[in-house]
Amino acid sequence: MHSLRNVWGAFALVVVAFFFAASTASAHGVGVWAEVDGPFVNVSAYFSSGGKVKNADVTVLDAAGETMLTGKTDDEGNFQFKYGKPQPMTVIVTAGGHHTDKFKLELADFAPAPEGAPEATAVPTPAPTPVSVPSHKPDKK
Amino acid sequence: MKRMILALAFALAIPSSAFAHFFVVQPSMAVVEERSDAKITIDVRFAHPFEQALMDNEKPKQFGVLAGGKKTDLLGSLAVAKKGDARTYVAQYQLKKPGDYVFYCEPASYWEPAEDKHIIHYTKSVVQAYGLEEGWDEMVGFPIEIKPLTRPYGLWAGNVFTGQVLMDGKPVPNAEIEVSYDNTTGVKSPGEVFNIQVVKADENGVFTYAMPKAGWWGFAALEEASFKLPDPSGEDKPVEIGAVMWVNTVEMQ
Repeated sequence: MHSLRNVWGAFALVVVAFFFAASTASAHGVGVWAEVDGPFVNVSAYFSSGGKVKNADVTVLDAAGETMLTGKTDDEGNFQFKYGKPQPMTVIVTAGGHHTDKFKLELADFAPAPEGAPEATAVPTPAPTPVSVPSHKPDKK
Repeated sequence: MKRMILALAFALAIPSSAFAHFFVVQPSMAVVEERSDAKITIDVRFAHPFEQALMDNEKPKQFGVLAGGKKTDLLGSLAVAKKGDARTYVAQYQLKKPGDYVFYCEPASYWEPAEDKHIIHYTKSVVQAYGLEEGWDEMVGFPIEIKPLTRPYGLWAGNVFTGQVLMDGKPVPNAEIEVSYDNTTGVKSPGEVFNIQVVKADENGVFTYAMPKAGWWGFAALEEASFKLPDPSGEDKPVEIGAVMWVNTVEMQ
């Protein structure tokens, strides 16, 4: 009798755990980001809520759409690979078998960033927008 | 004579209260999902948003972005964009990583003779990039600031926005918040009283407002500063400091 109750208890726990896992996963989308760093591509997989996607399947497709390599993200949601020849490639991350996102690396992503490139650049000629007339006089300095 | 001056003061006070001032920090996109949209434009201006009127404003004191727990000064990237007699400002920014980007601005103080005071509105707006929703409630650290309790992007028209007003890091009980729609769609107001919505915060400085239309909505919590600034004649005058936050809503269709 005792053991039967335990079995049911364990079963209930599994069911609850399954639904919990499923619901958190579906509530938070998965995102993937990839950056070229020297000879490597650094991939990171994240949930929208900020959590890391651990142990997710990573597939990298080459320019022809052929699988270049596969792997899994680590405990920090990261995965690194050596890309060899620069070419457009697609990094696909799949978590829990059904949450997936992809990141397309263009050829330009393999070009080294110019030294001291500014984060933001000034706009030399702002786009013309309709001029509105102040309905009370703007103050003079 | 005294009565006449008083009447005159009232007559002058009415239009100025109907046209509420809002400092505006407005990104070209509130949610960026594709890398092809990574370069965004941020418009910075002092306005009567409902009436779509602009005021001239000196170059801001601070302009930057808070992302990944780090502040980056972008003041150097702000360029003047003259619109009529008014100077507004514009910057471009490249979103290079997933995450939330809090764009913030401390404008130059604005002397408003109609209200016999200076105005400084500490203003911010959040851009979400590539699905990593982290950082939207990080505080810039302004003297007065709204802490969003509603995620401030990906909002439908009709959603409520809930925020908390903090001054020097402490909640402002019963703070008064003015709400304005950036009326780019030409909404006709049945009366001036509609142009600015007013909500009061609870004892914890928490307020809520439901935004009935798609577009940009500004929330301004206004308080009097503990310091004064000289008016053009050199006389010390009170300073209205405001915590302003802009959020964007999208029509459900």
